Amino acid sequence: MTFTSTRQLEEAARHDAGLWQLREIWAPPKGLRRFKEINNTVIGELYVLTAIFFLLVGGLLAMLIRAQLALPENDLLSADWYNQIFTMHGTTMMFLFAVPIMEAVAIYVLPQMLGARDLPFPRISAYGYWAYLLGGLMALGSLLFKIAPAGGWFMYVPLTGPEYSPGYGPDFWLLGIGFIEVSAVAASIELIIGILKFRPPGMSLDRMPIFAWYMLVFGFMIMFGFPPLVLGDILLEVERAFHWPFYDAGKGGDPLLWQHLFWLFGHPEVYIIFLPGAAMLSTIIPTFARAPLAGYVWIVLAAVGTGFLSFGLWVHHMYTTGIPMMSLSFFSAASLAVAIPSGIQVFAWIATIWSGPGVLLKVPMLYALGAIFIFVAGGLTGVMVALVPVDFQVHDTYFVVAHFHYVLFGGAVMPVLAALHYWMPLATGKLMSETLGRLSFALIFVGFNVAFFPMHITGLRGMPRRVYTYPADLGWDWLNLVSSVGAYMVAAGMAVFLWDWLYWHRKHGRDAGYNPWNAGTLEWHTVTPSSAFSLRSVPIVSSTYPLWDEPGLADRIDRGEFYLADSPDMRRKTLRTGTVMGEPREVILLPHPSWTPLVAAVGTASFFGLAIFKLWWLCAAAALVVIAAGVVWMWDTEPLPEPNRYDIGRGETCPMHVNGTETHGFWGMALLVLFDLAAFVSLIFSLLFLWTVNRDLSPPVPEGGLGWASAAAGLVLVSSLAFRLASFGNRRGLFIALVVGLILALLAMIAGAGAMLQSLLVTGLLPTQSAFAAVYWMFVAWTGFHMAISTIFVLYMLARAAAGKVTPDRRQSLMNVELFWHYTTGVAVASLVIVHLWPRVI
Amino acid sequence: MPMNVIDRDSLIGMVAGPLVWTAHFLVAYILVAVGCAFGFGTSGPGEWGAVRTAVIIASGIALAIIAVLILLAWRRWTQSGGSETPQNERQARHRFMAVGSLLLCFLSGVAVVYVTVPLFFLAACQ
Ligand code: HEM
Ligand SMILES: [Cu+2]
Repeated sequence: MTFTSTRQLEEAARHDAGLWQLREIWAPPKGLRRFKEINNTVIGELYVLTAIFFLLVGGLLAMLIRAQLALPENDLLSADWYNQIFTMHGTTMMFLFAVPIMEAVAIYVLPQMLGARDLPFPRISAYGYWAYLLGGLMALGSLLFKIAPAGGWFMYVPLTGPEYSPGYGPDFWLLGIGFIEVSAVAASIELIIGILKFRPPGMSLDRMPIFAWYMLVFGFMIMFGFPPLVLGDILLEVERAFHWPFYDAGKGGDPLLWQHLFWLFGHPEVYIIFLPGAAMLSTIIPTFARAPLAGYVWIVLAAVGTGFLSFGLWVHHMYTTGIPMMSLSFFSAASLAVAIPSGIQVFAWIATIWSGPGVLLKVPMLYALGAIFIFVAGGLTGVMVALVPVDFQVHDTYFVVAHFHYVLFGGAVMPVLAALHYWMPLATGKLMSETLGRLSFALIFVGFNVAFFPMHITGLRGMPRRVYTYPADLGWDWLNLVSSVGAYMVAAGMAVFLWDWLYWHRKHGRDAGYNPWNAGTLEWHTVTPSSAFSLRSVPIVSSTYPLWDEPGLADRIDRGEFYLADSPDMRRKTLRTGTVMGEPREVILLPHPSWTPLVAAVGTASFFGLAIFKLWWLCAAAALVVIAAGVVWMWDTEPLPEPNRYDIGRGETCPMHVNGTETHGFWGMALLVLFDLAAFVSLIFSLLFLWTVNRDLSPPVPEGGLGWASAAAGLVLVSSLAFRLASFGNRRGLFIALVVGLILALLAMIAGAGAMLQSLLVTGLLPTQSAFAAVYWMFVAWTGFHMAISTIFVLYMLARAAAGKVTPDRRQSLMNVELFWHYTTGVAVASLVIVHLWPRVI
Repeated sequence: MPMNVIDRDSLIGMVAGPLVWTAHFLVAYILVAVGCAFGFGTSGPGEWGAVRTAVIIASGIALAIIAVLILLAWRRWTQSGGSETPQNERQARHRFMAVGSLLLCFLSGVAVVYVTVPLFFLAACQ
């Protein structure tokens, strides 16, 4: 029988050793030590809570905006204060709410949905969470002192450059948001590998919950979408701190470079937010339509297609910047093409509703329907502004404000509210109130339309965005008043939601018991609230909706009939499976609670916080803390149990430690490298861009540096060879070869770094002189940074080798480091070619 | 790309179509940006010119590759039983991957055509 109440579960645990073991090892530590916990349920809950907190902050700022704009010539907020407020409203909503809440929900539910105990790197999730919390507070902290950034959420230069924003505002933005990007990348690596490798046996790609498909695309979009912004961020911060003129038109830079880098991130960002929203809808709708999702493969097409096409849209935010007409047409074309997959999704949802025996209009479904309605309305105006002539007309008016709020509210806020109502029982074991839910839905849905529909008209009547006030009698007065009234309705609705979410349903809600919505996916397989270890045993599934199609499965999972039903050695573990078919490959030992993620996050936060005030020595100290925490963190990886087989149940065994390119560790490093590569390509793009826009200014030739450059290239190549030798020696069990190889590699790399530095120093080109010189130096600095990291890695590997932790059977860490090492060599050689050869040949 | 990557049930094979679209988009963007910067693209609407011709050739190549990918995916689809109900897990999975790549190829093809059509009407570098 399936447990239908927590009482039965307690009862069972008393007689069942396996269940007792699982509960014991997965129980979160008590008291203050709870902050050591790294398990996805605990971190996921904190993550969600924090994201909603930031939504509230962003919402409060919106209320201030609407209070100011309610009446003409209002003087509630001064112009400068208004600028800070709308900038921080947009920034908070986009960076601190919309993207993180999606990661948060996924971190919380994905393992349960995929029949895994946790995600591949729990400590990285924890680190990412703390980084997000601290970075967010740091960015918002500036508001308290009225020194917040005021240049709009896309921070256009030159307004945010050193000349026009001499204060700290933009630095808070650049460093705070840059820091949060770190956590987004952490989460996306986690999700990608979790989805590809931590599925239960039998869950081949064609049976994966649709939510997982979307989150997979989401992860990859972050991988390629965030790097341009990270690079743009770094360039701007370096320009502000050290006067390297990347964006300074007077010195051969170009403000449009920032726009390109920003929107290369910014447009995919919209879909990075929307795809998880669609994922939530695609999960919730089938449950309440009581029918499987119509056209599964079409939805996969839509998710993947949107993921790709959304990278071909960035310039549609720059139609009015004087780019060649023909280029504009490409972006217009892609903007229209991306409407196809979005449309397909909407039709699939409608078809799902149609195909079922009738819709249950519970609160999550109401929110879902509201989301579709609002999103479609936003999509329609989106197609309008994607047309170049229309955009010429309405660019930077309230029409655009209306458009993107329709998209964001329909695509993200409403789906998130639906999802929170839907999945809350997993966390609290209680259902949220139907009555309060309907009330909040009505207030938010009606309020939203009252607030934002009139803005289309205000925009068409010419009201520009980002004005802190407006004269009476331009025909904007009553429209603005109506918008403000609507906005306050939304706020009231949110208040009702929060009351229920935080307090009422926990105290008075109905017990949710087993599968309260009669859903089909695995996260509902047992009595709520679900346990920290997700499931008693890792099942074998044979359909997309196992709970619907395989009667008795839930029961068998609960009885521990499948894999990993106990843990006699009292260690946390989960199963790694094959990417396409999902067959068991390895038992992963998961880490237990630890302080290192929190310490590392505090260290990183201090680093960025101190950098705002240019306290470089303290920054260096913070960096040391991070490195130290990292070493402690990594030291115990690659335990090698003897014998290297584990009984996973059902008479099968699996290795507990595997070396090679298929392991999750290697994939983690590979994805990190991919992300880094995308940022490096953005740097190359920047150089080419400056070159094409500055036709009267040819890139300076670094005279006299060629010799040093060749030496540098030779040295780094030697270092890679030496590393190859080291790992080859290790495989053969030649400890000496390992150590000598590593030391040689290290020395060659350090010498290479010196030669590379020298190759630019001898030319006498200074980074502050011109934009081209600054970019050359950036290539060197970028390489140098990677060389420094590689050096630390190798020192660490030498320490491991000395401790006997690098052997022929335990070579995974070495492989991971080697991958990064060769990548660094690649970056160095590419940079040398670009800086020293390219200007000579063009 | 080696045939077996496309033929096997791999994710890369599934997204081959969109990858072609991406490559084409980048090539078109770079051709116009660089071409216009160097003054190769001064042709008015209806006139040919280096930039326009180059981009249209790129589109032709991209569409040809996509057509081949469509044929391959189609073959895999019929091999996995076409529109009949799948017999077993393997077949269901092959089918899914084949249809997935087929649909993505169509979408990518349409997107390439969208990019190409305005080329025939617009002035190149204004
Ligand atoms: C009831 C809720 C909300 C209200 C009343 C509201 C109101 C506004 C208004 C009036 C502006 C224009 C300010 C100006 O140009 O002077 C604005 C800008 C913006 N809003 Fe909202 N908003 C709400 C929710 C959201 C949400 C949920 C998101 C994102 C998920 C969001 C993202 C943005 C962004 C990105 C901007 C642009 C900021 C800029 O120009 O730099 N807003 N909002
Ligand atoms: Cu866009």
